[in-house]
Amino acid sequence: MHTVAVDILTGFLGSGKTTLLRHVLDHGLRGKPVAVIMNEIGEIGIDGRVITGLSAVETMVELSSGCICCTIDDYRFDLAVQEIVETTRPHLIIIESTGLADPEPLAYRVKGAGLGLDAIITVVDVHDGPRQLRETEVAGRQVEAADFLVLNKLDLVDERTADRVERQLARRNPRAERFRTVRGAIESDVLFATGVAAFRERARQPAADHLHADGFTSFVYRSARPLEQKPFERLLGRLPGDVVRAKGIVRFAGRDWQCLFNVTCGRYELSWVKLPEVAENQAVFIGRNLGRHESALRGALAACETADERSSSHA
Amino acid sequence: MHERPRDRADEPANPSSPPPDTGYTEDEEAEVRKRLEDLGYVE
Repeated sequence: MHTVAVDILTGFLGSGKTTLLRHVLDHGLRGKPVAVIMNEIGEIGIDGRVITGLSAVETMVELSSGCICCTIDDYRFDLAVQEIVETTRPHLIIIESTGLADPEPLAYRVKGAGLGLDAIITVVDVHDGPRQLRETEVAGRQVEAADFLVLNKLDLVDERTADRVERQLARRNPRAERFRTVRGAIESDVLFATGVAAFRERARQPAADHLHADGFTSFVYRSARPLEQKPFERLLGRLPGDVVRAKGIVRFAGRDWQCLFNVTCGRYELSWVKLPEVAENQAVFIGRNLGRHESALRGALAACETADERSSSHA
Repeated sequence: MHERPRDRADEPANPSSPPPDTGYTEDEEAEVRKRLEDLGYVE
C-alpha cells in the first residue's frame, strides 16, 4: 500500500475546505482519479454530497460518526483505507478532516496504515481565522502542522489585513508554503502529489517554466550510480527553504530495494519499492528561485553518489 | 471479512531499512510502476 499517496486537507469550521477540494477535483490533478475520505461531524454527511458525482472522484468514503483524529478508531480507519485501495486502486487519497480535527495524529494514523503522507494542506479563513486562532487551540494546531497554508476568502478583507494575517501565520509556521485564494480557486499544481508529474514535464521545457503563474520552477536530477544513504538523508534534511517539494526514486549502495523519497516543505519521508527495471536515480525538485540553488544542489547530489557500488561502506 | 491490521506500534514512521524481501509478482511490479509514473516519481 505504500505507493498510494495521501493528502490531508484540514482547516477550521467554515474555512472553505470542501470548496477548495471541489475546485481542485474539477480543475486539477491532471485528470487522475482520486479517492476521497470525507470526515464530518454528525451522522449526515453534507460535504460528501457536494463531492460525490465529480468525474475525478473514483470513490468517496464518508466517516461521519466521529472525528477522524480521535474518536474513529484505528480499525475503522484502516478498514476504510484498505477498502479504497483494494477496490479502486487510486493514484491519490485525499482525506478531508472535520473542522475540529488535529491533523498531526491523523498524519501518524496515515503512516501507521502503511500509506505515504504527501502533504498536510490547511485552509485558513483570512476574515475569521485570527479570531479562531485566539479562541481555539485546534485552529493553531492546524496551522502549525501544515505543509501548505491556503489563505482563503481574500475577497472579504483588504490587502493590509491579508498581509497581517499572513505574517501571523508565518510566525506560527515558518516552514509552510503559503498561497492566497478566493473561494478555494487555487491553480497550483504544487499542493497535491500528482503535481510532480506536471513539473517533470515542465522541466523539459525551461522557456515555458518561467511563465508559470505560481512562480515555481523545477529541475530533474538523474544519475546511474547508487547513492550513499546517510549523506543523501542529510541533504534532504537541509534543503534550502525555497525547495517546496522534491520527489523521486533512488537506489542506495548495498540495497536491493529502491527508496522513494518525498520532501514537502522541509519534511521528508522515505519508503521502499522494488522495481528492477528502473536502473537510474530520478528526482524532481520544485520550488521558487531554484536558479540560485540548482548548481549547488546538483553538486551535493553528485557528492552522494558512490564511485563504485562495491566500494560503498554501507552495511 | 477484513482482518484487523496488525499492531504497527513498533515500526518507525520513517523506516531507514527496506522491509524483508516479500517479493512482488510481475503484475504487481507493473502496477506499482504505473502508479509511480502517474505520481511523477519515475518515468
